[in-house]
Amino acid sequence: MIDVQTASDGVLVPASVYDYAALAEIYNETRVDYIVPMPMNAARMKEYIEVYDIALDASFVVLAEGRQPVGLGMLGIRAERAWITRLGVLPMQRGRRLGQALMDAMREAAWTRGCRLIQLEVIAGNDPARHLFIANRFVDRRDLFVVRRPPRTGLTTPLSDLNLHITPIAQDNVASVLASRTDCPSWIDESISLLQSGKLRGYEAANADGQRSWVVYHAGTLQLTHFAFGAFISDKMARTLLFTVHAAHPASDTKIENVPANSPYWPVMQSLGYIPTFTRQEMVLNR
Amino acid sequence: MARIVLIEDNALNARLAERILMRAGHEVETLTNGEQGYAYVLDNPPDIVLLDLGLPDIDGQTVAALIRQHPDLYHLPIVAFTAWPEAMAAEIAEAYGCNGVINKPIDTRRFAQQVEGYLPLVQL
Repeated sequence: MIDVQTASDGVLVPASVYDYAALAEIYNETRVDYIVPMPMNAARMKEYIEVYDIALDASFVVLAEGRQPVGLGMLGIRAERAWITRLGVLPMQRGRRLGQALMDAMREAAWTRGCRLIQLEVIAGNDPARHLFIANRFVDRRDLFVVRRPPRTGLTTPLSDLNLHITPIAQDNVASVLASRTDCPSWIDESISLLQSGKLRGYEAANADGQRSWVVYHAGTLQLTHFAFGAFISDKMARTLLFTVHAAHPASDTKIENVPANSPYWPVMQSLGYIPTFTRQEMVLNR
Repeated sequence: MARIVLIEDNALNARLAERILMRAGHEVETLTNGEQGYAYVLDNPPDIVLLDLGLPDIDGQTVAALIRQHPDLYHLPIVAFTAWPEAMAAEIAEAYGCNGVINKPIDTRRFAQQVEGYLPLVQL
């Protein structure tokens, strides 16, 4: 039995009644005119749902006349936090408060499941979406960068500090290293997201004074993604860690989503060839 | 006539581009995702690749990086074909080794000439 909710001008059904291919298709159609469309296929949608704990029974598809899907909103949930993602309505269906209906349904689902906080990101420049979130009492928290690094860039400067000792992190130790994190990552790069994305590798660095830091990342076949860092000790240590990563994967493209704009690692990343693609504004709503 | 590979997941955009380029006398092969697109280019190196940056599997930047790193394809012209904001598209395309950018939506009167502008001279 499908749980159907009456929206302002359409009906909402849980996203769980659709398969990954259908969800990807709906999502892609809502983004055809988006500032930076990032289309997905069924495999990527499945991975996204699994890695980011998307609760499909708390996520919704909005149907218009004729029961055609015209919008989508997804809710991820971890303990008392939720995040709204993949929210969009087909261009021809906008202005009918369908986005608001999706927001209402996901907020209610989050509160019903005991969440105390809902977060989301809006791409800088997407004013209609930002106005929707402000109207729903979301407030700005910080700016996040989506960054890329083409292969074989920024590695011309050799390592210079021989007092730094770099060692690979053993697979068995990755989880415990991640457990030592003190930063405040976006849900995309939380430790549980990394662990669920799999294929993790990492390096630890120690200097002569005994100070230590580390980097852990997802090493996919073609792309490095999902970077997590230990405490920022110095530019030199951060640079050496990142240099080591990219020297180990010279042919890999790199994409990191939601790097906090105030991360001390960001200037170091830029020195190694990372470039900002676009900015997202993180917004939160407390219950 | 040039052999053009178009890697574009949006069917409407692909059909429009195909029609214009074929009318201008070119041969066009369209692939709808990055993996198939790269594999096709590898097996059948064309004269130029028109590459959508936002693709549903491997994105366009990664496809460009793969092409640029392949010794047999290093000099193959790649033109980013994208609706991204122009400045951002230009920076990303250059960083990934593309020869240029053609922005969507296309100008149907100029599109064929724009593409031809990136072809090696011997093709014209």
